[in-house]
Amino acid sequence: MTPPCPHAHTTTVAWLYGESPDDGHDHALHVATCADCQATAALHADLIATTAPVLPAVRTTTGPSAARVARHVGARVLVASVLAVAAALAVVLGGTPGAGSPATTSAPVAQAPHGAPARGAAVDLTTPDDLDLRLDALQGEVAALSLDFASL
Amino acid sequence: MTRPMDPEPPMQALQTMTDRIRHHDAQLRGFLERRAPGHGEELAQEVWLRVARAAPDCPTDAAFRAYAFAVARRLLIDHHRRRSARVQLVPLEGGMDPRGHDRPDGALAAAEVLAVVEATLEAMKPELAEVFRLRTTTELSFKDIAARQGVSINTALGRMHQAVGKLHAALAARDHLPEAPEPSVPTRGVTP
Repeated sequence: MTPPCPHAHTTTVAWLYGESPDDGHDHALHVATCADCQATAALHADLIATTAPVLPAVRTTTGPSAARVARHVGARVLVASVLAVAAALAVVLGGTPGAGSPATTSAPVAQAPHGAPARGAAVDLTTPDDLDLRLDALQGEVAALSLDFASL
Repeated sequence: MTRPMDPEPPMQALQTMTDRIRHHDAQLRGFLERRAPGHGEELAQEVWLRVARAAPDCPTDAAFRAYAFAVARRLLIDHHRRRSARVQLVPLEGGMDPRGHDRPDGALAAAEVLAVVEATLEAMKPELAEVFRLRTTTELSFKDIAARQGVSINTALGRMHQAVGKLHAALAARDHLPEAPEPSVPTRGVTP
């Protein structure tokens, strides 16, 4: 069995895309006599001919698609919104501003038993693990629903 | 660098080339028209012009045909890449086929091809996909891409070939392309 032509995956590819010296005349003669290089030429020409109409729509860079990025950003915004609402509710229902605000250093905190958090400040806004999990699940369901709609 | 024009071929050689062009012209036009609808005529003329200028020494008719089709495939890639570089609308949800086909399912086929291409690129190694994306959607040369990836130009060329092979196989599996051509018996008899 003869080894594959060393040009088939290198020089011939460059030649096909117009990147060979002297207009590729000499290499054209090689391609005409080489089965491996002819197969390479056929493979590339057929693929480019088939995909040419959609190539302008093919993304230039590899990475997350715009839709994926948009979904990710959307989820972040949703989480932030929910957290803001939760914080507002905590303030309203608890009647006490959240921890860290200047007002928390006054009387209500001082009235709480030693070591126990003041009422309303018990909501830990920094680690909303359960909320995150539920939002992730919700986001998954929405994504699945979107796929279902897209396939209709 | 431009290649100096060869001396005027003798009348015998000229007549032989003319006969061969006539012999293969219809088949070459059909080949090109199927791959570049509406442009087969002009591409065939360009192929024959290049073949006539190069005046390859092809002792046999089969060798001459192989040479002409090699030039044709190269021109096809150049033709499609240049057209793709222009702004085109790809109607994914109805409308006319951008290639101007009379196929009512042209838009659907384009959407399917795009979906297969993107899915296949996502599934392959990023360095392979990157070479394909950059070479087909930008003006970067393989040399530029190799420098960008920090590899030799042969590695970049090999990655392009691998990416094209995977895309071809994926599209063939969904009947958008025939199976990849097997290497055939080399055509003997072409001498530089």
